[in-house]
Amino acid sequence: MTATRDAAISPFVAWAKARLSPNMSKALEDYSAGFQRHVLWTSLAWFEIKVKYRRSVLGPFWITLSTAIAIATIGPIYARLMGSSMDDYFAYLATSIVLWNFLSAAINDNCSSFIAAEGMLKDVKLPLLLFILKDLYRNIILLLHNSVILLILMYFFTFIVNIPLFLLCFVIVVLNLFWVGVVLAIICTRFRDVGQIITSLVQVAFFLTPVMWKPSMLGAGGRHLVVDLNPFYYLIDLFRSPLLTGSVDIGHLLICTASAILGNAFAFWFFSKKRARVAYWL
Amino acid sequence: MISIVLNKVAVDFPIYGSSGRSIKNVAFSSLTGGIIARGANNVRVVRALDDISFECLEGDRVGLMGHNGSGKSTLLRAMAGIYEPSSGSIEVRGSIISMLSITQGMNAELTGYQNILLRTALLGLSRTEAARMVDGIADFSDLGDFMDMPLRTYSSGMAMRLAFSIATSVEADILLMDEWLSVGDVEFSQKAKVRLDHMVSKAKILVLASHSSDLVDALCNKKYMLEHGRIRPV
Repeated sequence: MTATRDAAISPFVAWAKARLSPNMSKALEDYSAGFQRHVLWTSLAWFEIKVKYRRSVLGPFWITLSTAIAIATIGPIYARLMGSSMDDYFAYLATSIVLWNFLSAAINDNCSSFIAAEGMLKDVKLPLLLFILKDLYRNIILLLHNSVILLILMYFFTFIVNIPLFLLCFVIVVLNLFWVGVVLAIICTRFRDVGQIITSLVQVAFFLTPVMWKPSMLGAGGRHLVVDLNPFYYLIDLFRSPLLTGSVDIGHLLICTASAILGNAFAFWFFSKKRARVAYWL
Repeated sequence: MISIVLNKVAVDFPIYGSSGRSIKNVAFSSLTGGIIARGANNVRVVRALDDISFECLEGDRVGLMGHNGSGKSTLLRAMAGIYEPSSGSIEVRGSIISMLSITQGMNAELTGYQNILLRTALLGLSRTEAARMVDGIADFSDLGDFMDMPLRTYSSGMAMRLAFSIATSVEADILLMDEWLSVGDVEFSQKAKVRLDHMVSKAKILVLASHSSDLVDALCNKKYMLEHGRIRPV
């Protein structure tokens, strides 16, 4: 059996490579190889989950259970604090917390994507992108486990779900997490304290972002700098609105799409510059 | 044409102290002219490979010898594409298998079968290819029912047998080996020798780093000595 490192390069990649600088061309190869080796990163992601929850009763649903308990206990108290009705608030809180857990896990895990893979990266030539994709995929799997909570709650509370819109928004959010992941992974491999800085920032962002509270609770029509200038707000709103209201603010959609396009262009450029150095930083 | 061509390859490792890895220190030192965070920008560099030029052509069995720390493993990694040279170039034509660590990626909590799937995926095999080889690998390793048990229940010898069976089941044009593989008890090592010899004979190029000059003399047609990152033919 022949081990193929680079499967047949698609015509697009070949066309693009002829027109790009050497660094960019190698970066494109890395991206392309990363996506092609989906057997490896999906297997690794699943094995990581299996290993983490081996010899436990509920497996990944332990996280689901603890999230559910958090929501069930925080819900009633904060509904009262916010002066909101339980019916209204509970669905909002549950959706927000499930989605926030995914966002923060994705961002934090991507910081250490390369560092955690040091052994493999120094043993075999592998596309760096593979590890970003693996960690994102693993977190999506865990999100799906956690979304069981939402499916159960949908039976009791009003959710207006728009599936096609949700899938579109989901893709846009993941594209944003992807470019942020690439940039952070590179920076955190070179500067080992950035990972901790990001963890702290995300924790603070939890309180500054409308997760447990709604923008309308701020008064003044829900407009405030902490909402308008908060990138987390736009991401979580894109996720949340198609599940709760069946629609999404078109402005938010445009902002997130623009961010996905520009962000990925920047991340690709940054990646092309720093890609070869990553192995030396490990 | 399968080949590896190295031209004036240099590999420089930056050595970052703990302050060099901190973005806070690097940032502060640029603000304060280096007084507060002394050493943040003192990045020492170790030149692991220096001006390496040679070529491996189809049919070559290349032996790399040298003391510990001379750069053998670094050179193999550079040839495998793991470290891109700081200067110079390496041109590889053909598929490469780097057998630098045959246990890399194996997980103690997963079963023998799962580890086969993991390792073969790491070596670049598709799911169908791996599925076809699983039984052959399991049979060769002679582990019987242990294949369904987690790797942590294996003795180190058993784990190495599994790793060896997996590593010797793939084919490639170019084989990079860091020390010759020898595993298992007397019985296993006999059939292992046959299997490894067969794998090596099918490779168009073999690059072997070894401490044993006898082995290199017996096996290799091109021999090089590495000293402090510099190479010379012997």
